Amino acid sequence: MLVYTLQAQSQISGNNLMEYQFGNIPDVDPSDLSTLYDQLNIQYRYKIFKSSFRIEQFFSIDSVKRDYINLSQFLFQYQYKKLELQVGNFYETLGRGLLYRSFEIPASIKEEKFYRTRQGFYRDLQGVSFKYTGDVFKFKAIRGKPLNNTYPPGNDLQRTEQIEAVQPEIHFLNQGLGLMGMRYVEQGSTTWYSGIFMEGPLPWNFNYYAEYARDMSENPNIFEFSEENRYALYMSLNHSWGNYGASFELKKYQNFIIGSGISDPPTLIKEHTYRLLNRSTHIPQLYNESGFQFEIYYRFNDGKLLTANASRGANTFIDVFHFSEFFLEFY
Amino acid sequence: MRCYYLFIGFFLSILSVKGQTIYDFRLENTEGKTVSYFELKGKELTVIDFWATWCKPCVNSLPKIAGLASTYDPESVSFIGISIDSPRNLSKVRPFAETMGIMYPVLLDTEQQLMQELNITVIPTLVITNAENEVVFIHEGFAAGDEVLLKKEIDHFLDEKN
Repeated sequence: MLVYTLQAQSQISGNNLMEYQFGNIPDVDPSDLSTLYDQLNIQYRYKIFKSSFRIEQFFSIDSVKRDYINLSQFLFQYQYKKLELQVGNFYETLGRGLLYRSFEIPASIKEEKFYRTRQGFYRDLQGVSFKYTGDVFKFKAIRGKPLNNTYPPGNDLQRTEQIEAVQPEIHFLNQGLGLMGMRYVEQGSTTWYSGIFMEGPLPWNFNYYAEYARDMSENPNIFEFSEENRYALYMSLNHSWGNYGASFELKKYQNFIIGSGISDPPTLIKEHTYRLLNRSTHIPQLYNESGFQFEIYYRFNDGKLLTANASRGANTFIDVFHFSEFFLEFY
Repeated sequence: MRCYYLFIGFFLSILSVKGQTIYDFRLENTEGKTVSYFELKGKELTVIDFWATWCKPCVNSLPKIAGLASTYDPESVSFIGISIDSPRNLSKVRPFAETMGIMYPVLLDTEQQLMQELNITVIPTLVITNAENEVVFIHEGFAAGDEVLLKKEIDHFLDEKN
């Protein structure tokens, strides 16, 4: 990581990730492949202005042309008190991700088995965002092309979708209420989505969050929940008291895949730590999934933590498929 | 051209860093209110601790950091917790922080914007800034006894100031 102060009030910083790999994928030609991936991130900040860019490079030693050098991201950001404007590549989420979520897993490298290329693990939005974060009123507006990271950098198919969304919120008496509206466009076809979320404290140290999102193009009746409709519901309730804490979540996702997977509704599966082989043991099937997750933990005075977690999901296709996970840990 | 980029990358990867200045970031706390760094910073030092509910070393460190925070005047040495949990774990952040005994503000860096701004790639990472908003100390990871090291560093910077 390098920091170099150009003058008293501005600075350049950055980081670089480089990884060489020699490995194979059995039953694929060539099975052995030697590759080098490099990701350079540079940012410049001068008071309320920031600009940054990312260059990714990939080189492989084989006869197939997989190499690339790509300016993968750039960003211009202006932040003044409660206002923020971003132009370029950035990450945003609507609500808890039922409609849209962009994200990055930092310092991680993703390998696509089909293309045999490697790239950073991120799904960003390329466009413009405007945010106002006041004490009572908040507003977010975004417009851009989401990244489809199943294609390697520089591929024309990486950004074929477009979204435009707004999210006003109001916070009053510790309660929050937000609305979401999103227009999704892909290959000339337009779909409208809307959503609502609420959050806040309840008596006896409980807190809740609830979100509902729906495809308004096919059936705008927000109170209809038949199998043909497209909607997503998520609710959580949590509680803590002294050394004890608990959270309970419910989900119901019905025909709610948006585009190439630009949304990321909560999975309601425990995100595991480094001790397990799989960090996430379940991928939600947004065509039809319902379920819950319950977690309770207690911290002992010496700092040890006892955690119990139970989650269950059901997918109804021709048959009903269940996924269950029970977890108990003392650490 | 390829060699040029590789050379820059290699050169940058072997240099160390200090002295980055933190901007006045704004993030939402666990009560849904957006607060700024300048509202929360301490008069002399600010300790910013990045963690996540699914991170085991973070689970080890949080009660120790919370205990460390209680030994200082919050006006002088302010502690800020930054949770980088994604929406899939957000419902757990508030009860988890309270269970860990955290009495200082916990902010949500869900998009990891601040994490990227400070070039942080691992958690837990603890950053100490001074009154001029300069990063004066960074500590990555947490092992038993690190709270003693952190206290020494904080006391050292306070003594320097006085």
